[in-house]
Amino acid sequence: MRERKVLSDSLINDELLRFPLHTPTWFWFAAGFLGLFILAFISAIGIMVVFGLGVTGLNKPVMWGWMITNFVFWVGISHAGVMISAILRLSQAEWRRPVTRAAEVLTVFSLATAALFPLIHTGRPWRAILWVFPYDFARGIWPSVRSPLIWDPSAIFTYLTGSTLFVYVALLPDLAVARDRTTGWRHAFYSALALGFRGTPRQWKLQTIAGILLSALILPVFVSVHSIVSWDFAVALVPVWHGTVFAPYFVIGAVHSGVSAVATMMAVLRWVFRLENYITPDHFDALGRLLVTVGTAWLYFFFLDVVFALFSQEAEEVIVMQQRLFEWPWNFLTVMLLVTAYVIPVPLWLSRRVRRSITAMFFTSLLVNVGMWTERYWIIVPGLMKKYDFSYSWDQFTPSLIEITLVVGSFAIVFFGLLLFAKIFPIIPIFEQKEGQIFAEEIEVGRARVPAVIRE
Amino acid sequence: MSETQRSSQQHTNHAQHHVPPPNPSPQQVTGDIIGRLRAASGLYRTWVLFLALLFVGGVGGFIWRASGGFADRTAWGYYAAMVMYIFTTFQAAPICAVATRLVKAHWRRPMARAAELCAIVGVFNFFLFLPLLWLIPPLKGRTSLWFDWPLGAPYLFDVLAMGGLALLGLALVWTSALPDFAAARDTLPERRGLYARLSFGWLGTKRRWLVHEWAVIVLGALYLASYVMTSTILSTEFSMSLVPGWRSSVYPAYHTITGLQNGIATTLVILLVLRTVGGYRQYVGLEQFWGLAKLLLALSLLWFYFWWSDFIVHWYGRTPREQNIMLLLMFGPYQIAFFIAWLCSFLIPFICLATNRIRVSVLGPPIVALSPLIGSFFDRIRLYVSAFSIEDPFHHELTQVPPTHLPDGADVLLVVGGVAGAILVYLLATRIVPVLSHWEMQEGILLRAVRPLLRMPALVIGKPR
Repeated sequence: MRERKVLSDSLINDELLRFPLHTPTWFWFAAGFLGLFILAFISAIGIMVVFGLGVTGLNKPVMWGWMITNFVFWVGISHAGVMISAILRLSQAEWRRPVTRAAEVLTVFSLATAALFPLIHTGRPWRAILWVFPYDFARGIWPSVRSPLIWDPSAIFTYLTGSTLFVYVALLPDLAVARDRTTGWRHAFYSALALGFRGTPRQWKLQTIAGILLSALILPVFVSVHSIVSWDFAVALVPVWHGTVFAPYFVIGAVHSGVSAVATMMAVLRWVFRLENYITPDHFDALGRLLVTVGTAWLYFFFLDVVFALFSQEAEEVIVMQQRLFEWPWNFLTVMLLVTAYVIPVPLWLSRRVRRSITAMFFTSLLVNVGMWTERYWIIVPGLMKKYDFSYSWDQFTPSLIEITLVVGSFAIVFFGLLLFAKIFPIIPIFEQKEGQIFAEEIEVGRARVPAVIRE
Repeated sequence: MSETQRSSQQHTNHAQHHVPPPNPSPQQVTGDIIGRLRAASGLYRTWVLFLALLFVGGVGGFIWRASGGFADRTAWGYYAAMVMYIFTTFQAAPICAVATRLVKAHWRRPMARAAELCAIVGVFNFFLFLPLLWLIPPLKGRTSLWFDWPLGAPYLFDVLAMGGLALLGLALVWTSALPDFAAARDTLPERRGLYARLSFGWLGTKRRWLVHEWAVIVLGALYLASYVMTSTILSTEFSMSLVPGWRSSVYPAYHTITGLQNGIATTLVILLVLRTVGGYRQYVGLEQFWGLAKLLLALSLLWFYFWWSDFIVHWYGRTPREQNIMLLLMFGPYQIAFFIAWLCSFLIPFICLATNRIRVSVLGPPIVALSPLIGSFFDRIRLYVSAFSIEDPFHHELTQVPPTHLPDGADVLLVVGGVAGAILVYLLATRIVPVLSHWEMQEGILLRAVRPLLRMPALVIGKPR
């Protein structure tokens, strides 16, 4: 890390606890503004429940549209936390320190939001209980465990539980700091959550071991979640869905969108909470370099998916691929997703100046997620539109106002969750920052002084 | 020994465990790395002779096989498997050096050259690869990565991919070794002429170092990209497109991942040899074996993940086409090869390397690394020999699964001779190129220090950029 700032422990405490302990006026406006969209989201669900799925743009044969696209998108974003936090922690990347918690929290809220969509999509959400419990004990009609629709909730809730634990374990020392600097109900609140953490050597050891164990254990869950989501599609014999590359392609796409979302969020956090001492251009530089690799890997899998759909030269595959590549509006979406998810941002990130510019990183990472949302839509809908060869039951999909409200509302839910979390807990890990200060060293090489780190 | 003395002894042992080893002096490093280029040991000469004999046997096997002509593709299945085995072991190994350099991993230094030197084997494998071009059927009427591309496909592109990778590998090794050649030029008067030519007038000015660092990174990234591309092309060309109805979009990625796994395994075995008989015990230590073991564990899990991604989609699809493909590649004539591959490439390395005592050791990881090297060999057999045994690649679907094609004498000679030739080329290269990167080791000494942290000495690593 080049831009190392020497910060005292008390300054770190003051700056990182400023927002949780003092409420600026803008917080209420922001919360109220996001609350309006959440209200619209709830209303849209209400309308859908009362009037049925007919109020959406879904039809026969396009039974999966924006809601499932949005589900896949948010599951993808949820891959930010583990990618940034677990992998960088295990690989002892020093630049991870200020980024980890925000990424983990983004994981939790995006995953919880994603989990809403398949439920809403049923039209009768209360019947979702029948996915888990038998329809009829007497006749022994059980949900099929061989269905990916059963794997989905299992994977998502395992990941959600793991991610929440991951956030909580890393939060413990900071909760203790907050407890020791508050009075009244806040003190009681943080005391209860801190679980008696006093910073004894044994407690630190346990906290560190728990963090490393959770990092290692959550990695397979992280991979399995989006793989299972991909198998929702791939195990069906729908043209352009039935591809063996779907699992790694979805996972790498999720990492691409998740890490990009972290870059976007870090820029916003730096601007909103004035965290210049903690989130520096170095962090964006590192994120940018990571994204060049991840983005290029995503392009490779995209290429495999497209080329090997055509490889067999089977009529169904060729027809859908022709539609995607040459027919309006899919040809536009193809160009758009490639340009926004790769062609613009990745070559720009090759430039160190761009990677170190926070504004440029904000916009380019945002662009990636525009592309990734489009990509999910581009994957899901065309295969369904021409699914039935002999029935000629072909149709287009156009989202209704209800679906647009649900998608916009989902963004509001995630932003609201992040805002609320940052209001209650330090969004940058205090203990990690202090540890980073201890580990920061310098080495003399000839006449130069080179930044160095103590190996953990 | 009293209880107090025992406790004190245990405490001292524990504290010593945490004390990082001292840095060797720069002169010692030069003597150990460059000085070793002076003369070859008797053991080295014996191995060179033995491998040369095996290689000559392989040439004999090639002549035997070629005397039957190139019309019968089935007969060349083991030869193709051998070429692809060398591709996915030696030619993948430099990626260990490239990837760890890209992420600036400090522990890579004693390992990087040993790994990237494997790229030289790429030139040898390029010549082994050329006869395979005569075995590719024409494009018209069959599935191919090139569809009906008229200009030179597939032959020209295959040669460009494989030749380009070999050239890039050479360029990477030469560029990376430039400062070492200069050190050898200035240290070894008896070989001054050779190293003066190889070092290209290197003087170690600041500008040259900057360009060198940039070139090594760029060439490394290009090598990685080129490896992925070549693996994608060759795996499709010489196996998937020869089997009617075999369409698996994850297969080229699976092939690449297995290559990376074997590249790490190859590097681990080379490091063990360097440590035990190469005289580099002081330089190649736990840090390198542990670091590579973690990567091997991750790659072994990825092996399973990519295989499973392929398998589950076919298993659920259950079309007749998919059932026949599964029969051919996994549960039919090559089921033993598949089972050995599954066991050796995934299960054994996973279980062994998940065990802390094996992973965090010097001997454990390289011994475990032999398992994926064996597994991959059988994996190449099930993929390439089966594909080469398909008589008619112009059918739309695979309707009849051919029987197992077992190796004959020529196949044994070819495979053993080919692999021996690859090792021989590597051994010969170590006589010219230092097998440990001298400049990286010297840089490592400058960027490494031991400082007190609380009551313990701790290792401090410089991060210049």
